Amino acid sequence: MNTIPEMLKTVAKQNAGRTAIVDEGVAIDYATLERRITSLAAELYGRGIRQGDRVALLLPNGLDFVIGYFAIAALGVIVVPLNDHYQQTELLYFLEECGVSLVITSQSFARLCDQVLSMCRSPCKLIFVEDQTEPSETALTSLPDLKVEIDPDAPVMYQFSSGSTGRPKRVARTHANLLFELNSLVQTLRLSNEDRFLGVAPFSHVNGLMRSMMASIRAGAALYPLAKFERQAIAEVIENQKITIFIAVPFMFSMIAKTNFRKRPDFSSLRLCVSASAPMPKKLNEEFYKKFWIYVRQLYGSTETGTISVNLRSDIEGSIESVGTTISGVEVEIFAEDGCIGNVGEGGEIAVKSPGAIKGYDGLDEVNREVFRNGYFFTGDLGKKDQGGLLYLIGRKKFFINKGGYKIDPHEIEELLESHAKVEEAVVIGLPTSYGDEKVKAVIVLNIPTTEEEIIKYCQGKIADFKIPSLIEFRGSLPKSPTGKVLRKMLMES
Amino acid sequence: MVVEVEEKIKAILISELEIKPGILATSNSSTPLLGRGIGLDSVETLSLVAGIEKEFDIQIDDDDLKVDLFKNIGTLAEYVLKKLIEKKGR
Repeated sequence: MNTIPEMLKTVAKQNAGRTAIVDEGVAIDYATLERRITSLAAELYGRGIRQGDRVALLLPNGLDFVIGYFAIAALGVIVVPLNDHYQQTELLYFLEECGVSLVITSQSFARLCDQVLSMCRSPCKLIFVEDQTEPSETALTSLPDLKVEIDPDAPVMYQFSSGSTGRPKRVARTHANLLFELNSLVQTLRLSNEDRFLGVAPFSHVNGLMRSMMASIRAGAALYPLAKFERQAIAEVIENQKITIFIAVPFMFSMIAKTNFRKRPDFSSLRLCVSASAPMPKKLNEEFYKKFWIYVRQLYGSTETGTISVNLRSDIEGSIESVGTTISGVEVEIFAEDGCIGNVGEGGEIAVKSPGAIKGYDGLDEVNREVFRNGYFFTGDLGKKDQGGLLYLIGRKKFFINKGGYKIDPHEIEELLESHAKVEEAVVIGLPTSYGDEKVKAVIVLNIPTTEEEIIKYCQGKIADFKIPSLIEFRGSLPKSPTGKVLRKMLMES
Repeated sequence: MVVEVEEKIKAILISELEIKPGILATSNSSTPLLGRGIGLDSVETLSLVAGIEKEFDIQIDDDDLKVDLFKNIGTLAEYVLKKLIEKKGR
């Protein structure tokens, strides 16, 4: 199998009668899942969607997201998963940047979508999942043959990566990229069709998408998606459905560990808890362990490369802060400041070679020359390796803020703030919280006096609420280097 | 009693969520917790809930985590008080 549709077909055939997804208590098997995907693909085809087009998904985690994703991919069309917290400015940017011609969404987003589509420069249509009916057997047998020849090196999905400069960068991962990562995950994490995955990390983001949703399907396992992060619901599903794999972000594990459950839930069915998207502080991991008797394993990856490494060491207590060793087929080197590969224990920039990685960003030649060199992708993360080859993250070269597992590009918020008539200059930084994430702080220089309230009001409805600064500080000027570069580190420390 | 709960919620907002004491000094029962007002977002409300559960030794049901609960400090304090009374009655 060389493409995502081929993978689905193979898995569905091998696991036809097994449970694929249990959404809000309703289970469907792989054979039914495949039929519903085919039915939606036929509808998309009927609406004029063709190979190479871009179709967005604006949905929470759930069966509809999975059906939508694979139906789009089945036609050789590029999937654009969108965070369901996004607001006007963000949605407009992503739809236009990707040239999306159709959005699969739900009625709850109808008003927002209508507003955004009215501002789109090119035509874009909507399909609501509520309008989809389960196809009858007769309807399915009369579906047209949708066989599409798909090049494994053609893009199957566009995601966006926070960058050190400008707006989020489009990352086009191919069928081959995704299949490599999924096969490697199955092998490394020893996934099987006996596993039961909790799907709570957002499917619109690489972590929830690849390591929960796609990994579960690849393994022929059962996926239990949750549309929202609800602590009791998570605990109930893990306990009652005997979940074996729980993939999330540090903030989610921290919230579960801190929750005052009426009766401590039984997590004994879990064989693997994996945290990604941000480092999991040792203290939080120990707190989780004390309550549930399982350590959270740290996984390291990026939107550009997919999964890079995971810590599956049996002596986890001694390496709890490590992101482990590379998954099968991936190479990692640490490059020192002088551009040479560093010695053991020496810190430097993490560079990755992986068949799961993209070869460059579309149309960003200058950036590509900087970060894609000699077959490596330079991640912008700083790390070191110990004698045993365990990888540790020690910082990052590029600035982004991790809010509850969501990666926020500060430049995006700065750009919005600076579009306010009374703002002369704005810098956005992240300040660590006791929950292992960061809060968003804006330091603003005004040209006309205004209030924090006015600034917040200006941001509302334009960007997701978790991106709106929680702290705003007005200053007369910003600290800058002699070359005029804003000294963010100084602002973070002050 | 509800005033005491409000004060404790404010203390949690300062200690756990690092809300500026100055903002809370000028707040009252009807100060909104979300958006304009205290300015909490969807992620921060979860941190606040965890802080409240720990401080008051109560359980807040996920089903109760609606926008109305965080309408203002007063609505949240009344909810917490109700939970405390339920706990006492058990």
